[in-house]
Amino acid sequence: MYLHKELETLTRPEIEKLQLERLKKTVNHCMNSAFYHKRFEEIGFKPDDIQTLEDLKKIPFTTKADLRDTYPFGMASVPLEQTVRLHSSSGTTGKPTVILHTQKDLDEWAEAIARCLYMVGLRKTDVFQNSSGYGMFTGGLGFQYGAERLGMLTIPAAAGNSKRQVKFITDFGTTALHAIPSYAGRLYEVMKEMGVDPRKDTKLRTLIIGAEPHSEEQRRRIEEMLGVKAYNCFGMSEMCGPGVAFECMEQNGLHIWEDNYIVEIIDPDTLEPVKEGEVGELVLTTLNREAMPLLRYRTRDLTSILPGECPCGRHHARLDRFKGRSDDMIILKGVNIFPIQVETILMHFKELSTDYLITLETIDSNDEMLVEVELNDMFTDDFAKLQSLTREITHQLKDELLVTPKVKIVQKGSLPQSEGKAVRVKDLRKLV
Amino acid sequence: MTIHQLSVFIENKPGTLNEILSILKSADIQIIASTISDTVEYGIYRIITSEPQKAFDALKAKNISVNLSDVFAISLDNKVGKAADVISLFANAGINIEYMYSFLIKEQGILVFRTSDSDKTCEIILKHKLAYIREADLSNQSYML
Repeated sequence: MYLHKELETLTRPEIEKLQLERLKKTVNHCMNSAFYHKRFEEIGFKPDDIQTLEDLKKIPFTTKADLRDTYPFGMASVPLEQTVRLHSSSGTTGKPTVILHTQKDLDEWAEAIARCLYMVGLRKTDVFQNSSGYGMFTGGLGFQYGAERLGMLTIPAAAGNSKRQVKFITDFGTTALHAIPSYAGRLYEVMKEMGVDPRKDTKLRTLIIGAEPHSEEQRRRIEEMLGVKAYNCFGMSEMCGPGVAFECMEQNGLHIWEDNYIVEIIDPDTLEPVKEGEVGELVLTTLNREAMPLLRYRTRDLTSILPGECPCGRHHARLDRFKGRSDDMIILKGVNIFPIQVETILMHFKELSTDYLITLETIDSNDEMLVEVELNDMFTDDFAKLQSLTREITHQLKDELLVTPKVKIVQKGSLPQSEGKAVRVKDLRKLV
Repeated sequence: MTIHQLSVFIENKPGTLNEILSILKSADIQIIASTISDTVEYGIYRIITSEPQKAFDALKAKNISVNLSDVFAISLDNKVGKAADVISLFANAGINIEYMYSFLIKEQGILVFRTSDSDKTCEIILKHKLAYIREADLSNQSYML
């Protein structure tokens, strides 16, 4: 039932004791990071100031802006030669953020994911297919190493090519699949087209879904369609990637591994802790990382901690379903997108006005992004030039966002104006 | 050798054409010829008028995406095969006609078109003594609709 029984079944006092021990170690280790060293000096903080968990509050929050400002290696707490892997998340204003790993970090990360997968009933006899994007996206390599760590036959199917995905599922006897929720719906459609009945013709019984907001109804529908149990997972590249928090078989909240992270939930406006059980922004402190520990990192994800004990016997706090973001980040097909990224690209085109509208919609169970732009001046009397403009905008947006939007030129003045607070994003996606 | 043409970006939805025509009406602009080309999402409304600059300013003032460009206009006798004769000259010279529209005024056919190569087009018009229309001709009442 437990892969790491000792760690998973720690009682609350035991968790806190371990956290304090690891926090002291982490804060000491942070002195090796140029960024934290300077920050500690600025506020007159010394690692010895951490005597209780409460003392963590003496340290200021770390933000994504800090990660950008120290790009690429200013956060590192070890010399570069000790690092073995780099992941990067897309940049909001040109500068991406970099996450570094030592071999120990990668091992711990794989262990954490293995723990999660074991928790939902997966064993070394399972066949695990990962339809997540590989490369910089941590859902790819993260699950690959975690699933292998558990000893499963692991198929790096990667994203897309749905017919091939279905063929892998049937031919290789895939029992567990990791997919973003909207893609699970898409796979079901493709199975239908191919005449594959997921219940009769496949061995699929476990689905790991995450990286994209989805409702309880959507989960139940996926389970019903594919004849599986679907478990929600949470992670972010700043915290390694997937494996930060995961649902147990109770499917009631995501256990966040408190031996690896200290959890705070704050009011994003006042930055004070919210009352117990209230929704706020998740703030995480890493307790088990070498290359790049992060202290009080503002995730911008809104959630709350579920009250009470979980019947599964784990005392690690349970995060409720995520309620959205405290910034304007959009999650589309598992990819994080900030409207400012779209804006920055569009502003390079002199042909366009400063107004634009991003619409997210579900078309044939696929989530799509429509970007409407206004022609500033009619710079041509030629269709070909208008079409090549559309193509060029699409191309540049795709390069920046890693998803391909549909770009539509509309009449000047028909989009919400930029004076005041214009609506730039309309989310019409069906979370069903 | 060319005349001015207005090109207006219009979205493919009810009311957009009416908006353009109303603005031109208020500005007292006489339309000599016009045509709409469309794709699924948008169209280009091309207009020939006796006062292109005035029309351009009026549309611009109403925040309409409009372009003023040069096009060729050739007058032909209204007889069978005349258009074919003219266009074949360009075709034989390897010049592409990007778009064309035509209308009739006082028994004369008028071809308005844009080509891939303006210089070569001029040469051919001069060489074959084609009856081209000048901007000034448009102000002449004889061409008014």
